[in-house]
Amino acid sequence: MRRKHHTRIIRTQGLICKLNCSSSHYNSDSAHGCMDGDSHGDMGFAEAIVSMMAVAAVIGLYLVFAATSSVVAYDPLEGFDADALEADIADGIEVSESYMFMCLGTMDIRGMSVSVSIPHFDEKGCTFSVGSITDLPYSQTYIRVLDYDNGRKVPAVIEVIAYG
Amino acid sequence: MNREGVTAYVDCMVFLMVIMIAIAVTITFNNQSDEQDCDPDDFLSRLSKTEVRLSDFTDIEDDTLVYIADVMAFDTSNDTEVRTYLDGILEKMFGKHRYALSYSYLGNTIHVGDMEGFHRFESSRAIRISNGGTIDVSVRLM
Repeated sequence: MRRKHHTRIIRTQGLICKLNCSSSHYNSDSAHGCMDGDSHGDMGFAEAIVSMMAVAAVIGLYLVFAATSSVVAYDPLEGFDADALEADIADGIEVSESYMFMCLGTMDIRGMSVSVSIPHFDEKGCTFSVGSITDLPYSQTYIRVLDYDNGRKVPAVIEVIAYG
Repeated sequence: MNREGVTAYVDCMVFLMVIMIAIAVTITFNNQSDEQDCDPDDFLSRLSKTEVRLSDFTDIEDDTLVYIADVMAFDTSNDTEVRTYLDGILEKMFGKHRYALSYSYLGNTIHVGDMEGFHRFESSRAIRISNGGTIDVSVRLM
């Protein structure tokens, strides 16, 4: 079968594309585009464009997924040691603000807030803040069993908010 | 080799494999950070060290210091405030509907939390109580 070489002009979204196509079975059905499959698996220009768009879409979706995951995985409190806060609830709630200031110096954060509450015994708790409060908070909650009054050892919930 | 689009098909399969490997690696790294945040074994370990007065969660007029496991064992056959207490701690730690705690003693089982179905982390342990027995405690986290 003799292969025909012809020049085809298609109109797509207001753009006129002039494509050089090679097809052994040119017919009127394919006159509006160049999606001509053949028995050799060769791709034409339009098929290549569609393939490229599919690949770009998949890679784009993956990049969005990876970017979202990296934002979620971003942890400004990496290296933070809740035990170093030296929280004390025996005579009122106290934490080591010097450690909080040290975190400001060593971590990539602008401010830090630490809230300590003792479920059932002191629900309201107490909050300590250093540095500045920004619109980019990242919180992490810890639980520590601490000495309380009359010999009790009860869980204290320590919520640390770092402001990036 | 290129008959019937074999090359394009192989190219597509290789691309899909690369993307799937990349997604698997990304998810693996994310799960590692999640595991640091939610450690049910650490929670049970700390909970077992809690000491309270018996009168804190029961109607018994006794200020004896007891481990919370003793109160939980007592709670399985007597309705006490300890389940509300545990529910409050878990909610503050892990958020609403993201936890389920259960403890059983002498055939009686108490469930705390309303999470159902799929969970990502789980831990169980038998905690020794004052009378020599043990109470089985398990926690599941989303």
